Amino acid sequence: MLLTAQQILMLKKASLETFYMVSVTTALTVLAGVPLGVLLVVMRPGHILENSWAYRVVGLVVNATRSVPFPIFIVFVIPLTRFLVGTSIGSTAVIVPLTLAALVLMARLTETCLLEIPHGVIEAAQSMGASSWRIITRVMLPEALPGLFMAVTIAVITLISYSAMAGMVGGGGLGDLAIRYGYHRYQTDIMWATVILLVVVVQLVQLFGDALVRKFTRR
Amino acid sequence: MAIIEIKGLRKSFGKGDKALEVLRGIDLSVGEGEVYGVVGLSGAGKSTLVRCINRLERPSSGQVFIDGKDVMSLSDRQLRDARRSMGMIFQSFNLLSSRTAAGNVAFPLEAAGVDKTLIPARVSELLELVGLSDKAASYPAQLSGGQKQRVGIARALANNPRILLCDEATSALDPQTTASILVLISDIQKRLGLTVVVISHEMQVIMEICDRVAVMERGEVVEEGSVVDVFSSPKHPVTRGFVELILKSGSRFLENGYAPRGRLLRVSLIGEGVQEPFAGELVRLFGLSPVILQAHVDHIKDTPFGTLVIDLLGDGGKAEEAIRWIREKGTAVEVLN
Ligand SMILES: Nc1ncnc2c1ncn2[C@@H]1O[C@H](COP(=O)(O)OP(=O)(O)O)[C@@H](O)[C@H]1O
Ligand SMILES: [Mg+2]
Repeated sequence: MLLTAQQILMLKKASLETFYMVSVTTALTVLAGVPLGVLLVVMRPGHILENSWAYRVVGLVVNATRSVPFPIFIVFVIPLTRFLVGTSIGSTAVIVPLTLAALVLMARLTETCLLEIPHGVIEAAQSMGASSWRIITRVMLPEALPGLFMAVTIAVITLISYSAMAGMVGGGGLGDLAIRYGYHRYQTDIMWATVILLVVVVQLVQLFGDALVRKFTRR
Repeated sequence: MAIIEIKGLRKSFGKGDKALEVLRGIDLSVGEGEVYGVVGLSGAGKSTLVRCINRLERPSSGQVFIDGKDVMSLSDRQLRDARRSMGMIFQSFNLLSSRTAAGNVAFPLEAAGVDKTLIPARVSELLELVGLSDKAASYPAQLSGGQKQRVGIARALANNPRILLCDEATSALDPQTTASILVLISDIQKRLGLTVVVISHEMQVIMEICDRVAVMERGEVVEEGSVVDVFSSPKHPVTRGFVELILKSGSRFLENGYAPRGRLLRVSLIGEGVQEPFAGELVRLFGLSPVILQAHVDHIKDTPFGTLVIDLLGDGGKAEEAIRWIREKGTAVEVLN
C-alpha cells in the first residue's frame, strides 16, 4: 500500500488536528474531571465533606451527561459551544463537547479509584488532625495515583475515539479523514492508513499508561 | 484528675425504626498515665466507644471530656488540635501505601505544620524509638505486620500526644509479634508517661499491659475495676467467660466427667501469695491431701497471678475449715462442686 504525496499531507494534517483536539481536551478533562470525581466521593454520606443534597445533584448531572450518545451531545451543546468559543464549527469548537463528555467519564473513573482506598486510611489521617484539604491532596489522590493514571489512559483512548466524530461539525482529524476519503470516496488505502495509525497510537497510549501505573504502584 | 471522662455516652446508628443503639449510656474515667483496657466480644461497641473519644464518631448524647474540655464543643480547628494530642493505632494499621515508613511518620508532622527542616530528624528519632531505623525507606507492602504496627505507633506518637488510643492494635498479629508490640507500647507508655486506652477482644492483651479494665457487653460497661480484681474475682458472666478462656480450667473438669473425690476448688493467688507454700499448709494445718489438678502462674502486668485447681481430699469438716481459712487470708477461692 503506497500513499501519494498528497494523501500523506492529508494524513499529516488530520493527525495534527486529532493531536490538538485530544491533547487540549485531555488537559481540560483531567483538570476538571478529577476534582469532580473527588467531590463525588467526599460528599458521600459518612465521608469527610458529607453533603447528601449536593452529592445527589452532581451525581444526577454526571449521569445525565453520560447517558446522551456523543453525536447527539455535540449538537445538544452547540449553544454553549457558541457562547464559549464564538463558533460551533472547527477543531476548537469540538473541544467543548469532547471535554464535557470526557470529564464526566473521568469523574466517574476517579470516583471509582478513590473509593478503593480503605476508609481506615482516611480515618487515620483524620485522627492525626489532618484537614479535609490535606486528606484530599496528601492522602486520597496520592494513594489513588496508579488508578488515576489508568483512568487518564482510558479517558485519552475514549477521546481519540470520540474525536473521530469531530467531522460532524467540521473539526477534522483522523476519523473525519477516514470517513470522507475512505468511505465516501472509496479510497480504501487512506482508510487503512488511518486505522493503522489509530491502532498504533492507542497502543502506545496504553503502553505508556501501563508503565506509569507500574511505576507508581507500591502495593 | 481524669484525663478522659465519659459521661452518659450514647450512640445510635440509623434513624427511626432501623436505629441501632450501639452505646447505651457509658460512664467511665481514665486517669492520667493510666493504661486502661476495654474488653468485650466483637460487636460490643468498643470501637465505637474509642472513636467517640477523638470524635471520629459523633455521640448521639452524653459527653466526652478530654482534660476537662467537652470534645463536642470544639470548633473544627480546635478538634484538629485536640486530635493531635491523641495518637491512634488500628488493627489494620492504615498506613499510606504510597509513602515509605519515614514518609508515613512524617505525615502527622506535616499536618501539624512542623517546620519542614525539622521533620527528618524527628522522623528518625521516632523510627528509632520503635526499632525501625533500618526500614525508613521501605514501603508498607515490604513490611511485616509487626513492622507496620511499629510504623503506626511511631506515627501516632509524632506530635507528642498525651493519649494513645489502640483499637485492636494487635488483633491482626501472631502471638509472638503481639507480645513484642505490647512490650513496646508498655515501654513507651512508661517512658513518656502516656495515658493509653487499649481496646481488645482478647483478655490476654488486657492482662499484659492494663492497670484497669472495663468489660463491655451490648453497649454497656458490665464490670469495671483494676485488672487484678476483675481477673481474680470476675462477677459478670461475660467477664467469667473471658477469664475462663485464659485459665482453661475450673468447671470444665466437671463438664469433662472428672469425678472429684473431695471438694474441688479453684484458688487464685495474687502477688506475694504465689510464693506461699499453699498446698503444704493444707497438709500441715488441716491434715488434708490436696490433689493438684492444675497449677498455672501468669502475670497481670507486673503482678504474678497464679491459679490452682485442687481436689481437696480428707475429712469433710476439715475441708470446710480449710476453705474458711483460705478465705480469711483474703485469697479468692471458688468451690466448683
Ligand atoms: N458506621 C456504622 N453504621 C452502622 N452500624 C455500625 C457502624 N459502626 C458500627 N456499627 C455497629 O455497631 C455495633 C458495634 O460495633 P463496634 O463498635 O465496631 O464493636 P466492637 O469494636 O466491639 O466489635 C456493631 O453491631 C456494628 O455493626
Ligand atoms: Mg472493633
